[in-house]
Amino acid sequence: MVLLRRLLPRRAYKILEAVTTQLAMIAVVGPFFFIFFYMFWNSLKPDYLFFEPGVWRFEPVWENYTAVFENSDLVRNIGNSVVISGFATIIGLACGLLTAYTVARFNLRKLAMAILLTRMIPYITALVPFWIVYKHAGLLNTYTGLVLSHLVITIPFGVWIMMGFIEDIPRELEEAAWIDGASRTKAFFKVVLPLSTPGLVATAILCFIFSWNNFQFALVLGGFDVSTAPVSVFKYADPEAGGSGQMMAAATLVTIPVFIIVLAIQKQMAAGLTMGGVKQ
Amino acid sequence: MSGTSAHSPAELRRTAGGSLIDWVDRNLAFVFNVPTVVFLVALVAVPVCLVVLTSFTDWQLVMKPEYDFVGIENYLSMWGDGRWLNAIWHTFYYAFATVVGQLVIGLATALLFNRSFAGKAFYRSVWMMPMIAMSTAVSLVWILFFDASYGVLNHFLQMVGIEPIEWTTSPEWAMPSLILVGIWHHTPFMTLILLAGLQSLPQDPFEAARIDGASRWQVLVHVTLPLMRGHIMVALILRSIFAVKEFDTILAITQGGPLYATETMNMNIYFNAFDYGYMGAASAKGVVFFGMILAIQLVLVGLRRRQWSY
Repeated sequence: MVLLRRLLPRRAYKILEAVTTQLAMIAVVGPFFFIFFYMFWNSLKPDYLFFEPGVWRFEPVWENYTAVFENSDLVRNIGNSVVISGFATIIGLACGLLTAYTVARFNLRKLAMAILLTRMIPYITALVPFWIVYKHAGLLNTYTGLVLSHLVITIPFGVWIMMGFIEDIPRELEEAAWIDGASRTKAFFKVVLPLSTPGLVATAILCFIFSWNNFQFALVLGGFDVSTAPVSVFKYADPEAGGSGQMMAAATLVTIPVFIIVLAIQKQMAAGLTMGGVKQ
Repeated sequence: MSGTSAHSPAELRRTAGGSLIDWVDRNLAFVFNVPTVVFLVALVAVPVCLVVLTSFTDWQLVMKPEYDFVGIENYLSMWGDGRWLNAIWHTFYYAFATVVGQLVIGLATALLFNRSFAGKAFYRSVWMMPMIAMSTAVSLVWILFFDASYGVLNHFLQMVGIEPIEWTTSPEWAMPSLILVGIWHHTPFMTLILLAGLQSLPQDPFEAARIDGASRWQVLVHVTLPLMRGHIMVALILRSIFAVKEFDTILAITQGGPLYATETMNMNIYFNAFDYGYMGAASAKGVVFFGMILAIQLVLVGLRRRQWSY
């Protein structure tokens, strides 16, 4: 590259550099993306074509999707997942906002550390006592039970992400409201809450995705009546559950909606995820 | 901090107070935390106490529903359980291999994404997709990929003249297969953390290196990597904690098999508790598992306190 830089005219070097960067990006991103391409492509393929992996014929059929709609509880469990993750997200977001505000403004480091510890708990360790209590309380296989268990995901996560967003809101704005005679509570609702809306949106979507993707809680605590989408998808891992085409159709059905959301808000998502990952 | 500052309206109106809103104002740090603390105590602290309590019993769902307290017996006997010891080894083997793989690809991609080029936003959102995809859904794709007879991977291998591999059905290849999935699934998160680190680096050392006429490679080795050391350590530990806990893809792709070759601690506890009903023994293992993760986390906290706090 150094040699080329000297030999080529400036403009030609720039073009060469741009082309190599594009090629490098495709080489890196391509194999990672191939999984999703394969998922979607093969969901439209009749089953007999799976026995010839080299054949790239495109005659889309929708029979895999209709089979999933008819034979699986996936559609019902997507509905259940929306309800369960929705409630878990709303509660997690409210708790997260309030706690993040006090942690940021009153400098409650110990509380923040305690919440970080709750983020560390492996779900399997919590699941044994959850199952015991739910068995006695009749909460297995119920919406209440699954929403409560998903709060273990959304509340600590909500607090940690919201903390970063609240810290970015200048204190002076709040203090101005105090001087104008607003109570601290009123200043919170009239000043901090509107300003934290972008953060709340990003946090809500991340909480929702993490709850939506969670498999272990519903696997143990769900049941025939109330379960979640990942459990329905998991049932297709059994080779006797349906053909390869149905596997891919089920996987596509739960993946595409999340991707649409992410493409729509990818900038805020990146900011939120970075905060969740880095600002621990 | 500013809660006690002279600006605070609660301070100003302390004498006038008496209404509910004034009381809330004065005790804001308490009132605002009631929901979070109540939920987390009920959903995390109480379960942790319960699991510790259960771990001191010999409770088995089917064989011994009338349990007795047996002290620390469960904590002692698990070290004679070969399957559990294997699970510990598998857990750390899996975590180490996936995280190292993630670091190498993550660092390379973070460096790529740190430059400016056409279509960066598009590439970045495509790159982030595995991270947010449902683990059971992507496991299904990998199951088809790994299929020994009709899978895509073996098809590619045969195209370049390599013998097909029994990916998930042979004990020696099952774990590498899962590691491949783990690297694919979580490298984007590594990229994101390292990219945030790269973007937060001071610009002066890079300017200085450029003025001194350092090549790109020299800048990378002598400036970027040393400056990134703290970020890399944090990213490594953070990803290790997640990798140690991996469950979904392993259960979906290999169910811990063949011959328990891919059974991790998380899987072992799951089977013991919910398939065999050994609640006492599984609880003890769960407590040990939690303890190990806390130990990793403490290393992270210690590192941050020293010099790499954000």
